[in-house]
Amino acid sequence: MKWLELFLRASTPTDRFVLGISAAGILSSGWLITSEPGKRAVVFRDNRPVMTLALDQDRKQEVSGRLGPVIIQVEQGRVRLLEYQSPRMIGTRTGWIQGAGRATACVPCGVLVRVEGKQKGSAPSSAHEFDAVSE
Amino acid sequence: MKPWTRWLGWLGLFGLGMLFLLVSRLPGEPEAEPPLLETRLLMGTLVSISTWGVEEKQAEAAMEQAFAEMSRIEGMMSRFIPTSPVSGLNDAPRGAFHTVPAELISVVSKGLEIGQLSGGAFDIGLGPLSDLWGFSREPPPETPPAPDALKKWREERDRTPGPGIELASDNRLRLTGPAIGLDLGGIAKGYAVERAMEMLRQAGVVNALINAGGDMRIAGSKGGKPWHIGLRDPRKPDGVVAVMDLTGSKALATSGDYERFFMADGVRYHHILDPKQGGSSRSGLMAVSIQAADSLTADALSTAVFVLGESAGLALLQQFPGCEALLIREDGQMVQTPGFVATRSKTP
Repeated sequence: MKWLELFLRASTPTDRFVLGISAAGILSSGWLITSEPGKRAVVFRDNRPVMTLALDQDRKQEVSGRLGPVIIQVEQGRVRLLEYQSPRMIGTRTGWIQGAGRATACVPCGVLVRVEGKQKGSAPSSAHEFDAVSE
Repeated sequence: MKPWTRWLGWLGLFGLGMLFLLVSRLPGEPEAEPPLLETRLLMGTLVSISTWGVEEKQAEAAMEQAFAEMSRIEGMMSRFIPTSPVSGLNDAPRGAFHTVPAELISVVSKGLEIGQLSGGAFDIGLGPLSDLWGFSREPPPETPPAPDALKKWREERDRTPGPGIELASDNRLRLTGPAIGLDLGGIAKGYAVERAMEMLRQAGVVNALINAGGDMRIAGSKGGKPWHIGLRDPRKPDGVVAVMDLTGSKALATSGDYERFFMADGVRYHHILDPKQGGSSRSGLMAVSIQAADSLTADALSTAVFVLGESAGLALLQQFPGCEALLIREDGQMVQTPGFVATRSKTP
């Protein structure tokens, strides 16, 4: 263990303490990065799952809705519905969603997109920190 | 100082920062478990059910039963499902009695009662008029119906006395004129939400929130914390004009001129129809929210009060003890009855 003897000779106890803290911090940074679970969104047509989208892969995906194609956009871990314009397309009001349990939908198209996982916060109809919004 | 010692110092600072981040992520004061949430497309809207305080599998099973119950009611009371008893009645020749499910009779009976108390402002027989306006069509309409078509409906409606819906013994019901057709859009969703909450209760869920496109039913709380509910700004889809922190057993329903509408020649045409005028209600209100003991009453009253307007609408509420209202006038001013639980807000 020649390198260890060299290190002990060349460093003070303070140096070794700082080095230990550094190592602990660097290891914990690895935990910080890797502990966030990968997110996916499930796409439902008439309440039946039709596909799953990984939220870490930016893309535009077309799905078949009751009234024609519906475009789902994934970007930077978020997902939203595009294209279909209707007062009843709740997706246009919801905009981007990303939290687990959040959902966006095109009601007349019968298309619902829900981020997998347990809800942590608001209900899907809410753009704020509410359990629900009455409208 | 040796150069490598200086680098070691910087590395140490970095490490300390990372440790601080790590500690900040560790659980400290135990937080209340968030509600479990499920969402479905039902009854032409997004329906979400949140439950709190029950084990995940039990909650999921209970929510499944609640959604199934709402779906069953939709299958019975929707006029857009060709196989529903309501569609059967609407498609049948007028004048003859038909036997329908007792549950449908019960909802129709309640609708007729509120219709009578509201002087006809709440009307469950507007199917043909709703079809003329087409607010449920896709794509949504961009112009009002032809004046001749509205005139014809008006003439036929005037020839039919009363509500045009008659109930008889043994769960029989008939429609008495061509201008009459069942449209339970102002009451069936409230009934379905009420039934869904009953299913949750039977499954042992005592803390829950059901939101069916704004028709809400609340039970219990989130571990002592109230259900935190926003009231949408009628003119800003992302805005909230009031906040309601509700606990216990309560229902909330909102009717507004912004849910289904179109603009033509600068005029807003919306889906809340005034039976007397045959067109969008012009009562001076943009939105009405009702808090009540049950969702069916809240749902129906939110429409009735909207059509009646502020003065007559608040007078109608006097006949429903325990029901409270928040009205938003066309100029944005809000009026609320003393017992309506809400905090004003202007969250953008």
